[in-house]
Amino acid sequence: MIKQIIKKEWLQIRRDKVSVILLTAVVLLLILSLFTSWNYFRWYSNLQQEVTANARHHWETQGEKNSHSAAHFGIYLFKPLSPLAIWDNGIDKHYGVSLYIEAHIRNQLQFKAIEDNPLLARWGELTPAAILLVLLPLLLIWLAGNSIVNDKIAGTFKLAVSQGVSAQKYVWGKAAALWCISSAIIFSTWLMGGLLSTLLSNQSFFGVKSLLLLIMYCLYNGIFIHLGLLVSNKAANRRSALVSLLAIWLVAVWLVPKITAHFSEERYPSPLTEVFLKKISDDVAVNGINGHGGKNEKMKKLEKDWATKYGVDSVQQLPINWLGVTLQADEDTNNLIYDKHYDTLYAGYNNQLLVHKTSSLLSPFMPARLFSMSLAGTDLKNSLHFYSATEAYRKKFIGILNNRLRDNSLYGGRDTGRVAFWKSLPAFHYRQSTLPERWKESSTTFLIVLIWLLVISWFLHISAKRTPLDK
Amino acid sequence: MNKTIIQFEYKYWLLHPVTGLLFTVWIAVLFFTVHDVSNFLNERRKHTEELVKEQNERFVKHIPLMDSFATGKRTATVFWDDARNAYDIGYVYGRRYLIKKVLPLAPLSIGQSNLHHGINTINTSPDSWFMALKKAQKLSNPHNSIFGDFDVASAITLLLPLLIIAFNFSILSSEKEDGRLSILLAQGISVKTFLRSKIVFRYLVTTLLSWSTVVVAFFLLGFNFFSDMRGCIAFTSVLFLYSALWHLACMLVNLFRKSSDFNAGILFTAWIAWVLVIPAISTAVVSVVKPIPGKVKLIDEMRETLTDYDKKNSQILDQFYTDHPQFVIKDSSKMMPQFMYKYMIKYMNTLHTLTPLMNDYKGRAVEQSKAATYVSILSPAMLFQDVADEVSGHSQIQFLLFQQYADSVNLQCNNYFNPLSLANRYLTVEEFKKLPTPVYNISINDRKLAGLIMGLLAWLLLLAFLVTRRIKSYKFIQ
Repeated sequence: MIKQIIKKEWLQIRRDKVSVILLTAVVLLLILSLFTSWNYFRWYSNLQQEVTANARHHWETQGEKNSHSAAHFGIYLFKPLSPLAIWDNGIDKHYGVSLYIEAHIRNQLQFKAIEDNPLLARWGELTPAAILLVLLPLLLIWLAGNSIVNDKIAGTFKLAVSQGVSAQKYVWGKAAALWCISSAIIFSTWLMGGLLSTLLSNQSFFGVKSLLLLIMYCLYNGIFIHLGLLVSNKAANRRSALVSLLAIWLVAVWLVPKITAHFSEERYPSPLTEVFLKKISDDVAVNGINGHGGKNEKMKKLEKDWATKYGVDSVQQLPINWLGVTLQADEDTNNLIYDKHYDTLYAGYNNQLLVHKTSSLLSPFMPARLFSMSLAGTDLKNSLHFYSATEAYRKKFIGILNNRLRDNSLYGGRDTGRVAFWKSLPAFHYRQSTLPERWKESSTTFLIVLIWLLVISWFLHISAKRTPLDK
Repeated sequence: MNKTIIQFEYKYWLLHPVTGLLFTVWIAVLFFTVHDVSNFLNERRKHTEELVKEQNERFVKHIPLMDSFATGKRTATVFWDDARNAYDIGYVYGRRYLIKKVLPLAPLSIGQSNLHHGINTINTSPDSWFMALKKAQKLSNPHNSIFGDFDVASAITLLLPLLIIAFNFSILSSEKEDGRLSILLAQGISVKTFLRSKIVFRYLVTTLLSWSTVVVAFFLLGFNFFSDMRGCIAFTSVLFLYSALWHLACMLVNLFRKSSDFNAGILFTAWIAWVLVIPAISTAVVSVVKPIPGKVKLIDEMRETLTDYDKKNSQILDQFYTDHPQFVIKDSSKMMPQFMYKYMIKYMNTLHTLTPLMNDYKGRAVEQSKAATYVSILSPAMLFQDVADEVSGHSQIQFLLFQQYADSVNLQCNNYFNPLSLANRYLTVEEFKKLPTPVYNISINDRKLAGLIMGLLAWLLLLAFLVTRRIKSYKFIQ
């Protein structure tokens, strides 16, 4: 019986011109989004490989210079794209993808793609994730919203029930038909995106991560199918069904995210860049060490410690270059200050994200979006994962340069590094976060999507059970 | 008859609780957005004022110090210790800020102001050379920025059409569905008169209410809406045009004699197309038609230039010291000044080497920004947004032009101070006092504004033409 209901539903959709137009439009937009995502993925992957190789080349061929001058010359590191970024590029274009590492300073990720494109920041872009999270639900509520109320008006519903089909079976049959359409669209996109991504990347798109994404997108769209049917079953006429559903869609996928973003910023305001940097420099001035000859208690203690260690009267008599020692002490002390301030900044971001997660109670869009970005490796946590790897690398990198200066010359002397030494410094290799790491961060959001689906399904089931036949 | 219809509308539409509720929410949203952007602007203004005050104090305090060296009360053994040395003045004490003024209508739109700086330091520091490379003004959480801004312009662009659709999607179809239309037509009222009266009344109420809310919110929050008459006229025009356009769209859809749910679906689809899909496609098109390599590529090219320069510099110095070993400095106390000279020469050359590269990047960014403006003709929402960005002084191109100007002023500053520093020159107190304070006068592009308004007018005329055609052929019974 369910099979026949599915067939009938599909036939009805095919006969409705508006539904066919909307279905075709969504499919075309998905193809377009896959193409634009693929194009960006290809462009950025090539660029990332090129600039990473160039950055290393620039480092190695910088010529002869003092190792501390080389530390100031520094090196640029670039974030590689996750293969799932073709599906959902998350915050990648809104947060920097490159980092300049140098002596004394912990820099931030910089060069956001949105700074290079005036339209991107304002209007966003078409990505498979955006279409599946925003437009596909709209199509589904259109199809579902018309479904039962139309049958009730036409008398088909009463006819089916009078022939022994239970109202629940009838409703779930319709849901199954819409699930088939929705899943077919999501699966085709997933397959095409996966093939394109695998062709471009040396990592495979297909795996548990992408499978979980596929499941989550199906569940998320299922919520809108059931919601559409629920409203359609309750509505007095088509007009009220559709208007109610459009209002729900607008609130769920558009207003709640915007208001949440805004509220989280109001509640936990992000600092102005210059104010943030000034706080750090003030803190460094008071509690830090100036490796370039600053004089404070910490410096005096350092001098005393090293003189005692080597059994000499002054640092000038040390068998090493004192500048190398102070520069490393500068790093060791000031890094802690930088870490403290950055931890505060990220604690603020985490509080904001907590607001985002809490808003999951208002709309299934929020947990779905957070889960999608997290699994795709394009959310803030993944960016910070890259960032902390670069910071660990910076500390090691600058440490090697300072130690070389310390051990290869005497007080006031000059140490000159050459190509062979620059080449000997370790290259940066980034390991992306693993599935368990990503799952640990995002499992709650997956669970919330599932709860949304179960709750709406339960309401739909109850509503179908209580459907009066006289309407 | 018009009067009767309007009286009816007043009583049964305007005084309806749902209409009242929607208007109340709408007014609250507009107030909230003006309040919010003005908070953002005030925070920025406060920060700018603090910077300028701090610098002015540093400037004033430095004068007596310079005086003490000039009058011989203090003496310095090396150039660097003398408060009058050109290097320190160019770097610290003579530092100035170039500020992009906040326009009176700035609270209308955040535009690109959270991406680009409205203030640039004018000094000899390499960090100030190129504004495009400056860090973003605010350390915003990217999870928030992906959802876009929420300002007056975006509220009107995105929510006003929805409000209009909610009020008017069934303006005629519901009359037909509820059986009132046949009675009205039987009483000699033409569809044209009926629809026109209703839609004009609703249009005037909705638009005037929106406009006056914005004006009142401006006044309450300390901004004078009318102090920039040109911007005020432009914004008012596009608001009235944009609202008219959506009212006409509702009218047109209703004239197709379809059901109310069909009308709602079509109007909502138009909203999605104009507000979400076309702008997103335009973004992709502009990136393809007018590509710019992006800052990642730019920084790569800059590093290439720097590395080449470093290598050449090392080779020349090596050769020089090999040929003239007497110049090799062994006394560590003299190393720092020599390092500073090398540093300055290197950076002067670097600045001049990188300037053409940066100019190319900036030129292409301006070209792309212009292309984005042309593309906005595809969507009335984009046209409206562009006008709001322009009159608020927060459009991409306004920031790019500011960056170009700031870079040119910084180049002048470097060209003035660096040769003086290399020549161990001191500045007199008079010269110090006369150091210019750069001013940037932000301009609103009238041609661009006129073009955008014409674009919106063209959309309106197209819809008006379609409505006129449709209304003539409208038959109640077919």
